[in-house]
Amino acid sequence: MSAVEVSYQEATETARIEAVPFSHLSVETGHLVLAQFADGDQALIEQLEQAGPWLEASVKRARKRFGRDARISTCFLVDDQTPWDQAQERPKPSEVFDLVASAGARVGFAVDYIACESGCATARDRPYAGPHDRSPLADIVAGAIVAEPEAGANGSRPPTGQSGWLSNGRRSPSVSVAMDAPQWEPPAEFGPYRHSVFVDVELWSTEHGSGPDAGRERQYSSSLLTAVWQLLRLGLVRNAGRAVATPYGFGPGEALPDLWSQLPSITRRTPDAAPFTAYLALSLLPARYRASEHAAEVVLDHLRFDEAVLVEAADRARGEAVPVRLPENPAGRISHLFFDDVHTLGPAHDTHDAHATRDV
Amino acid sequence: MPPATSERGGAPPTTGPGGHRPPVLAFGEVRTCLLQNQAALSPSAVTALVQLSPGSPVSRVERPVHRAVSADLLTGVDCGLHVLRHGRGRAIGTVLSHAIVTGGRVLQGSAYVTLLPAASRERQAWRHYLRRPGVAEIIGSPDPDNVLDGFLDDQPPARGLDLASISDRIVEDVQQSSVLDHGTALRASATTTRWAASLRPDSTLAVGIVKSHMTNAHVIRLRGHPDDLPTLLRFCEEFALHEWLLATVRDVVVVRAEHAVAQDRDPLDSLLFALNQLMPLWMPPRYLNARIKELWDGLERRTHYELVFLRATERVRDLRDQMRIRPPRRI
Repeated sequence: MSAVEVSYQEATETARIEAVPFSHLSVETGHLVLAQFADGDQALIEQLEQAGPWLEASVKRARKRFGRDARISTCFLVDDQTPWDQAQERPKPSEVFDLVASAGARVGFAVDYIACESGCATARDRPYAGPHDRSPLADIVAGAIVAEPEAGANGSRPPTGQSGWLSNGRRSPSVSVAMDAPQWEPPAEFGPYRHSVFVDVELWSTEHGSGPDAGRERQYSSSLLTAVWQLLRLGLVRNAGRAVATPYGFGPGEALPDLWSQLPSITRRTPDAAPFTAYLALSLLPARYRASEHAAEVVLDHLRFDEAVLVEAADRARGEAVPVRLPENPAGRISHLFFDDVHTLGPAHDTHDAHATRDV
Repeated sequence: MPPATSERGGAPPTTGPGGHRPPVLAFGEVRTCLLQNQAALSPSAVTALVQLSPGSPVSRVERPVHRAVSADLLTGVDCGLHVLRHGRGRAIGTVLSHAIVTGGRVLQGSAYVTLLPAASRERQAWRHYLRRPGVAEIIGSPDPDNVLDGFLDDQPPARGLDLASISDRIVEDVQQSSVLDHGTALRASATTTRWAASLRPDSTLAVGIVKSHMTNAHVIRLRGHPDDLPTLLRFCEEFALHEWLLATVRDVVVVRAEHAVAQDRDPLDSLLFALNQLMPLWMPPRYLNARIKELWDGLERRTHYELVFLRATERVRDLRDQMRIRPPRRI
């Protein structure tokens, strides 16, 4: 009797992980609320001007580390979710995109990708995306959060977390109004630290309204959406294995939609740009974003990642012309630079004096 | 003796070169029951049912029987272990749990965790544990055999790791889904299977099954190589499924039908349910791989499970035929 080698497999047994292309470095050159575009390009130019020299330096450093052919892309995030004064008219995507392009040209670099924050809550892979081209990104990331257990948690009870909140420690017990003077107990960060830095992040709130869906619609916080944004830049989000929020490039004759909600999550503005997703993500931001970036890091520290997705990125990095070793913790691929808020008043020493002297 | 706490910004806690050490123990618990739905669920409905968190992949196969498995959920734990005889230990890490639906009919909640000695005497930052999902590190050095016996011996309310509650929660979550119509196709009990494996590189495969003094509960003690873990887990889940099928057909359907016949009532519905819905799901997992075949063949030699199930099947057909020859007078 001879042994016959037989194998049988079903493709649906293990999820296929869709690969995404990688740049070496993705630089976020700014982040603005839609309202800031209503008054023209001043705020935008201020940010891009601040970012310019750091972008230049990071490009130089990336080429030194990863070789002359290092792939580097730039991006810009527009917050189209912050509540809007109804009296004012919302700038259209085409207007904002033109402003970003001209401001970029003025300060000397191109913004390759423009993303909108609503596209971080729900991924849209193309303009006018229908239900099949959308992925609930914020739901996916929120669902991947693993709450940190308190000492004594053995699985008997579901995680004790406050719904919609994530903290890095044990909260201070709530003090009830009692006759006795209540004894205050401090919160404590989990981990081996002698002193705590206790952070409690609001991930979402629920709308209180009337109707059948009242209280069920989640409004995701900028902390969670920032986490989604950084994960997208690192190429770590999948919807059941599928890549999501893939950048969309509009054709030459193709018009931009009028509504932000009809825009793809990420729009490619430079046709031959290096990939949006990258091994390293650098954010050049005004200091006011520090808190939400820190909160996003707390979220990242509590995420379970798909091992196959991490391995895919690590293997690709190792296979580069200049091999790169990625850290085990994806948060170690993110770096920040926060600007000061100081602007010169005197005649500027470069060509942008028209703007720099405006306040005089 | 290292200090109990450390200052932030110091040297990061090292896991040492053994950062990926093999586990020494694995514990699990499987809860098996009927899905609360009148009809068998279609494959696409099952996929929607076991997508427990948004965007998570569902693993499914069509042959030999339709089986869908949810992605694993993680539950953080930090608790004392229930150690028998002597010794103490604290386990910190994550427990994995998933839902399995077989044939659109039978639901299983399966929770499991592997254990290994911690490299450090203190709790680490959370991302340290998230790096290895399904691993809990033991602080303290209790004897693994005592930890294993302690887990198998633990009674509710659990004093150590409570995998029963975690597997129950998976079942409850699925049963509450809006995909289901919450109808009862057959009144049948849920069963529990608790298992614990001692994993050593020099171990040969061994399995010992004890039917517990509690109803519908089995305890499995296993031994194997650390690489056998996926096989051992699947073996226990398959044992739980087949034990549930056997218990439901023989101890529920047949017993009730005999009682009904004696009282001149019609037991045909539940007999046909067993024949049409449950018996096709009997598919011992020998086809999976050589290791699991060894385990199942060993189980079969000792228990004649398949023969017992075959007899139960014959008995169901007998009772059905009797109904044709002499229909009941009372309905």
